[in-house]
Amino acid sequence: MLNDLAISAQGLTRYFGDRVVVDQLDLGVPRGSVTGLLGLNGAGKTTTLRMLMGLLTPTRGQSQLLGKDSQQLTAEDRARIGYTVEGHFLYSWMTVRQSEKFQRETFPRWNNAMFESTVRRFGIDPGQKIRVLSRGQRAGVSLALTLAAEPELLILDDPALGLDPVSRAALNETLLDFCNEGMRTVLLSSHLLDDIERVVDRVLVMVHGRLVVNTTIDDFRNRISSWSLEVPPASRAIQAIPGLVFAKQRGGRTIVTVADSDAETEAAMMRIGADSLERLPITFGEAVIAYLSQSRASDSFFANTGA
Amino acid sequence: MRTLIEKELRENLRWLWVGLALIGSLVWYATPKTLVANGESAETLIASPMLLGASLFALGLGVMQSFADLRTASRSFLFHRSVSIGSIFYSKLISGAILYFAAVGIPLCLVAIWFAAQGLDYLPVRPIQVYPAAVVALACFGFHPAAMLMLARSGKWFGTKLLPLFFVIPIVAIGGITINTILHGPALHVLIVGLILLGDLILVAAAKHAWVHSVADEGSFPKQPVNLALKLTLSIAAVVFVMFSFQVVAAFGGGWLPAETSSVEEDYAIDAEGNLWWVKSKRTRTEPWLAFISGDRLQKDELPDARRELPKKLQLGHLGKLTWVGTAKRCFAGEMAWYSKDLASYFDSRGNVLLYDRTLTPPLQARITRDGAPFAGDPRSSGSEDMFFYDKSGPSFWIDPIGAYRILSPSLKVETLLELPIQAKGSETRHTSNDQGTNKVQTQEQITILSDGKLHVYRLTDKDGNEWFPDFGRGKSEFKIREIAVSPPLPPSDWKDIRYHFTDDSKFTVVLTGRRPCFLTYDSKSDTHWTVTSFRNPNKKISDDLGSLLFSVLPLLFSIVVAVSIGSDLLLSGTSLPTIDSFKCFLQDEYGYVILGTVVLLFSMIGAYFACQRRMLSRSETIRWCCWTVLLGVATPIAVLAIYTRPACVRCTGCEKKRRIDLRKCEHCGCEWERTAPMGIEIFDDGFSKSKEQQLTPELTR
Repeated sequence: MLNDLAISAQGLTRYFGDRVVVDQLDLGVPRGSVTGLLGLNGAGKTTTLRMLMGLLTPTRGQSQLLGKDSQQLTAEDRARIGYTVEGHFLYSWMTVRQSEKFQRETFPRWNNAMFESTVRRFGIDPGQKIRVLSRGQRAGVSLALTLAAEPELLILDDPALGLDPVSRAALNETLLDFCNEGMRTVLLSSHLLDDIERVVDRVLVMVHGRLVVNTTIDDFRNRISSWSLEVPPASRAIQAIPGLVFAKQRGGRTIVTVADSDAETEAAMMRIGADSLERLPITFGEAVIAYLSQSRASDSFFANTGA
Repeated sequence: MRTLIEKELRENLRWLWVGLALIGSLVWYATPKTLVANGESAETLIASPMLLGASLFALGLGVMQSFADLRTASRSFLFHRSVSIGSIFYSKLISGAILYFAAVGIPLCLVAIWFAAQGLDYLPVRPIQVYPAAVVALACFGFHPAAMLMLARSGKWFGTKLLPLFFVIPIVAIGGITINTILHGPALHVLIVGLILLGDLILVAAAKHAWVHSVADEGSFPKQPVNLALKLTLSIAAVVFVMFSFQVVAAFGGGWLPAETSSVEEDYAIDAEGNLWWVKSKRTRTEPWLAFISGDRLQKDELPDARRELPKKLQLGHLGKLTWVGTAKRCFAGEMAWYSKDLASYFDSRGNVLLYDRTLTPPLQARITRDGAPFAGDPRSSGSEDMFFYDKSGPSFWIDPIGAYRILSPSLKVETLLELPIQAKGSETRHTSNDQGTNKVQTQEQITILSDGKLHVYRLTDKDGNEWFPDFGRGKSEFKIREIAVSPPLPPSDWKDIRYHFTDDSKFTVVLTGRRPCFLTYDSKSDTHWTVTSFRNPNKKISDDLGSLLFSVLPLLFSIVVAVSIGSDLLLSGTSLPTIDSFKCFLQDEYGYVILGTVVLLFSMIGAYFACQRRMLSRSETIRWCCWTVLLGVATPIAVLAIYTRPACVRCTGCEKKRRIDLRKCEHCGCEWERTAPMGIEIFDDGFSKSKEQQLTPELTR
């Protein structure tokens, strides 16, 4: 099984001081999949990605990229892995062409056509200095530099952060084109749920440094459900619903989001006195937001009810 | 790596201009441009600002190169590519070296060219005199890898973060030796440069280890063991830090120290009767001259005790000392001798004497040679400054290893007085009451030469044969040299340290300490002339209260380095090395400091033990560090705290004790980490959720 995984982690843990940021993470990302990593700010996404990339030492546990220990990646291993850092760091004193030269000479494989087409897609003049580029254009250069090295595994840390809709569209198109070429694995961290839904086929959700979802996007959609109940507001009994992800009030009714609902779930909802029980359609975005809201006290139904 | 070096050069080129401006202006400001009375030699003048400028530039460059690429985003971008982190480190080091040596090399080359263009006509300078500054610059480059190490390793800015910089101080000190040894043979310079490069290599190895293994730790307990270079660097840096701190306290707060800051010397003295004494003299900070405090008369075959009370009304005087010609230091420093406000002589390292008059253009007035041949040595460099007097109308006298000469004025021709091999020479100032019988004294110069087992004593006399006194004699047109020559009846192979005292022309004493220590008394009026009395050689001891205090509390490593240095100096100067007797004597006299040193050592061991406990080191490592305390002294706890990182701890759910977060099992109860209870909302597909337990591998255990 491990051989089928492009990324795997076992008990991956990271503390900063005595505060745990990533807590005993076990994950596997199959080769050839496009996986979205979701979570609130501070959930531990970037820390996880940095540990996977071998740029941060885990406190405990271990991880592998393309079958190699993340902490022992050689230059050859790194040539097979593409990585864009959060914020699209580039040397601002370089021109786009100088950046390309620098990247080309430090990676053994280089697809010039890929670089040129990506740069064109973002409307960038290769003679421009990096410092004068817009945020979207910097993202384009960053992506072009990463993709032109023809990585087998691509790890992107929030590549769409702060991009305008046109740049986001260009980013998504570029990623889709890249993924369609051969057996490539992508792990993409983002807050943009629409983009993720469009691009990925697997989803990971992190809450407080823990992984709570790791499945295909279809499986995720199938296993999460939303229900509208009529129960007294602020009822503590609602917590008794098995697999309750999140609950909120809307127009006098309580909307609950439940994972892996079955007959027992419906029976539990009936037991707490729901007069009418209505299953609602739920989008991918709403399902993810339910998970993320669950971890944020200010948005939490439980906080409002004093739970 | 070429690409990385190009990137670094392009990125940091702006600092080259800063470095050129800083070092160039400092060096040019310090470069001698005119003859300055009491001015230091060119190599000292240039090396000092080079030390400041090059240290600052190397440190700044290392910080800028590291800081920019160690921030999270830039580090991730730079480190994730198909090159090793080691290559990235070396590219920074090499590009830093290129920029650094350009910034220090260009000003030095320009100064050397300027020296060559000036020539000796204007200033006694030669291009070679920039060499010590170049060696100092080479040593100061150590601040570059030290800065890279400083930024890559964990540590607090108000803790041990800055410690690696202290490792560079001894490297720079070694480089500074070249200032006084510029004219020594190549072997010494190869050794100096070799030691500098060795120090830099250790620093580079330590810095590389930190870049490759420590940067990703970001302050957490390191997974990789600390390498030897890093241990060595931080241990030596801790020792230097302790020494530096004591120096600062001694320099600025000597009064706070419990010991009286005085120094005590033991040496020979002679009374008015011509009897020899072994006396203890004291010098204090406020009274810097030697005052006799106790002593014992030298008796045949007896060991004198310098602690005995001296008889009252005893008049004692010091003995002269012969300096071995062969041990004369060769250097440029201090070779300018000023005879008046405007007139100076300079002993050219090629063996010529250059006379400068700074009121004339060009200032160089004469090159004095020995009939066209260079002099064989410079007496000024052996500490015999009084041997060469020059006045346009007065006498000049010169000694080198192959003869004694006088320089005739105003022709500046050289007349050879003696043509014989000279092994040792010494000058002595005799004090004589003046005609009025008051306390005012005249000084009379006399020069003693050892040649082929014979002592020659020269005194200047005027044309009537009366002794000539420089204080009164200036302006006299003629003089003679009166020679007294005697041969002590012992083979020269027995002579090591030669002390002498002339009571008058017919009576004097020579003390020879060598294989058979003895003193010889010469009396021309007796039948035998010479009386030889052997005695047991008392060991010369110089102790300093402050020095003893510092030695007793400073690391033994430092004491060993100093002892080796003193030992080599003693060997070179022909003085006997300390013996078991002298060690016993030391223990007897300085037991207070021995006790203090022992107490300090014990406290250092306790400190090292607690430092090891705080860093949670194993029992064997704790024992090893406690043993190292013998060598590193009070620096050991600092070294332990700097080398190791303290692992964070949380409370164990099994035993309630604090357990290390980096270990899989609790070190107290063996309990594994509890898995956080499922929230009941997890969605995992079969392939990965169910396999996760099986995927945990034993390698998780450190």
